[in-house]
Amino acid sequence: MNVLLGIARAVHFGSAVLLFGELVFALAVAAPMHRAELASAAGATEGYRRVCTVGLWSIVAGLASWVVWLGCEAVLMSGAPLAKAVSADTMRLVFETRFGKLWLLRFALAAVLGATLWSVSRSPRGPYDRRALLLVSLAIAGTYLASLAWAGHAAAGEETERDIQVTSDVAHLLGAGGWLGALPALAVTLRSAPTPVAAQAARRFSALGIASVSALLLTGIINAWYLVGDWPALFGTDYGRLLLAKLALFAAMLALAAVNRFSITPRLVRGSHEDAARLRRNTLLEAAAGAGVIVIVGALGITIPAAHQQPVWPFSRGLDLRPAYPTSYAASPVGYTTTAIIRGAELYAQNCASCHGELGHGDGPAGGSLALKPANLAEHGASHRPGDLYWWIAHGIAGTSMPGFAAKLNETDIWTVVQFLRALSDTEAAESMNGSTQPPRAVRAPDFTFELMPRVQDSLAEQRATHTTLLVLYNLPQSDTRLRALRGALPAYAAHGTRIVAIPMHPSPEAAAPLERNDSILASAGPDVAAAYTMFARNSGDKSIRSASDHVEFLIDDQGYLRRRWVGLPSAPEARTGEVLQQIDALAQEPVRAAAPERHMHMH
Amino acid sequence: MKRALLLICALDLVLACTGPARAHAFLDHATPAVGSKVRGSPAQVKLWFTQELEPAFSSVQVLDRNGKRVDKTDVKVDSADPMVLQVSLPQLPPGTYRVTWRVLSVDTHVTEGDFTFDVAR
Repeated sequence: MNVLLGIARAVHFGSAVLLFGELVFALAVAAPMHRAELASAAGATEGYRRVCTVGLWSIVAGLASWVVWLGCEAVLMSGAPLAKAVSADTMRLVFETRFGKLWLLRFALAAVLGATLWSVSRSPRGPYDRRALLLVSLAIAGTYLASLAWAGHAAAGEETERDIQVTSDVAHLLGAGGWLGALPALAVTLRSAPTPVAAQAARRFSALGIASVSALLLTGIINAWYLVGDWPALFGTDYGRLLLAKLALFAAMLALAAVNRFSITPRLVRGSHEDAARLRRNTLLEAAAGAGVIVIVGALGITIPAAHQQPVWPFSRGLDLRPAYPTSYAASPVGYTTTAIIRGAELYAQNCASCHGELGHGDGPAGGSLALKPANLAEHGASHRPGDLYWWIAHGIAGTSMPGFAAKLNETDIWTVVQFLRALSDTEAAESMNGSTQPPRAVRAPDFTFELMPRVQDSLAEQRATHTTLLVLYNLPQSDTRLRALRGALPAYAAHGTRIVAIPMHPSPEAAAPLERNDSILASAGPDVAAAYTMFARNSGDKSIRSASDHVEFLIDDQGYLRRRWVGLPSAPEARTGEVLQQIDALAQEPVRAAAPERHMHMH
Repeated sequence: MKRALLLICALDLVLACTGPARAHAFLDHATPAVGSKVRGSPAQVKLWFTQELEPAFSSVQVLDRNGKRVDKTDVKVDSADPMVLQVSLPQLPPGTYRVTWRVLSVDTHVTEGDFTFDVAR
């Protein structure tokens, strides 16, 4: 079904591009030449007449492929077999979707355009006398072509982005129509016209070409920015490689166009037959490359955009020229959550700690006898690409004692260990947050789910960009005075855009139950939250991976970064409140920070 | 040609940065969070996607350990935020639950996936 859809898309794009291009050529190249009486030459006249015939056939092909496209979408949307997908019930739902409405609109446009062109073609003295109708046709054909922007990936982003993408896509489609779509008309004119007329046509066409190519390049960059995003995706995914092939064809077309414009056309006025033949041949080659581009466009629409696919890096060096592996630029399908960190810690303890040591310092009991000391993961966890760590864990490191675990751990498990290693490194960086909100490097706060009110789930990520969070890990009865002070200061925190989430350090139903109901700051959460966050409270001298302190507070900024920590109970809870509010104000003064650079693969 | 070269340089510069790439509707995050342990039964499952959804062809189910559907089948796309899909839940006994979703984004692409969460005592 996907292949059929790809073909239908290619035919449809091709026919809409050709239709628009023919009209542009007729009005911008052939008609002015006709008025300048150059078109008494048979070729130009014929080229001008062709527009109705080619236009009508393009509409027929366009409508047929549009119907096939709809059928394919109905099957893909409903997940039902064809017979059921095209039933009245399903089609009613299909026409409720944005695509369904677009389908009806564009079907109507094609019908109106067909009628207009039909009436132009019936004009007894040829289409020259129907210039106004041809202009109307051009406007409709432009709308018909440009509205394809709403049938693609571009029409889906968030609002502001969508406007940029759709505008860019509209200009891209019209640019393609003005250049690619007009090439066949140019080729036909060149074939039949005498050399001086051909030279005129070629010169007029090149002005159109340069405008179209500029639009194509600029808007192509914008589209690639949204749908591919970065270099690994361009080289490492199907979508990216299709786009590279498209760019290669485009470059070939540009080269041919440049030779035609700057080398052959100036000589053509002297009337050499060889030059005319070369121009014709180059134009045909250009049109063929253009057809290749259209086929790729058909395929791109049914390919997952690169930004949503794991890139498989094809080179042995990365973008920074450091050694790289196929998974180097892969993004973790496992989110950076407290659940993943605790699961990763278990896997690490079972598989890695014997050599790398409990804290990752490369000092495990089995590591001492190795010729090459095991790596200090607390350092490496932060300095390597997560995808590199994944590759080494899965496949080992040649020339060292590091074995591969691909046979023992599945993909999810390995990514989970990678997330744990990141946390391990970050917990060492967190120590600098005892007295400062400016750690040496950004430290992400692992995401977690909690309930402040019974049965209402919330998570750190969900409120990102709106709230600063004060996360309090407490122990009763020691923390009781502090919790009272926090409750009392809650309106002050709220006024500073900050919510308080207090989670028991040692969750047990008995300890927490009486306080759980409708308390303004006490939240319930899974045991992994306190377990993971106590890691971020430890000091580098500690022998254990978790802090022994029984009360810790973290300030998490509105972008989801850990910014400050307080280990231990304050001697004066009110003074602590003042200090926290002061820090929150300081964070609010900062220039807007980049949104969380979390490249986490949105898959399943 | 010089202009074209300049534009190609611009292309290099632009692609050297990372774009805010979007297209199909993928699961951004959920409550209960993917793989999370929650204490007590949540009132609903809410899924945030990276793109607007077509209500006519977007669905979510919550299944218990035996594969029996346990949600209240009142699946709806949030009218205020068409990137959010939700379904409410009855009081669930402790256990592992699987959330399976299949959604159609407004650019006509179907994506599907599943995850689990645990309800702890």
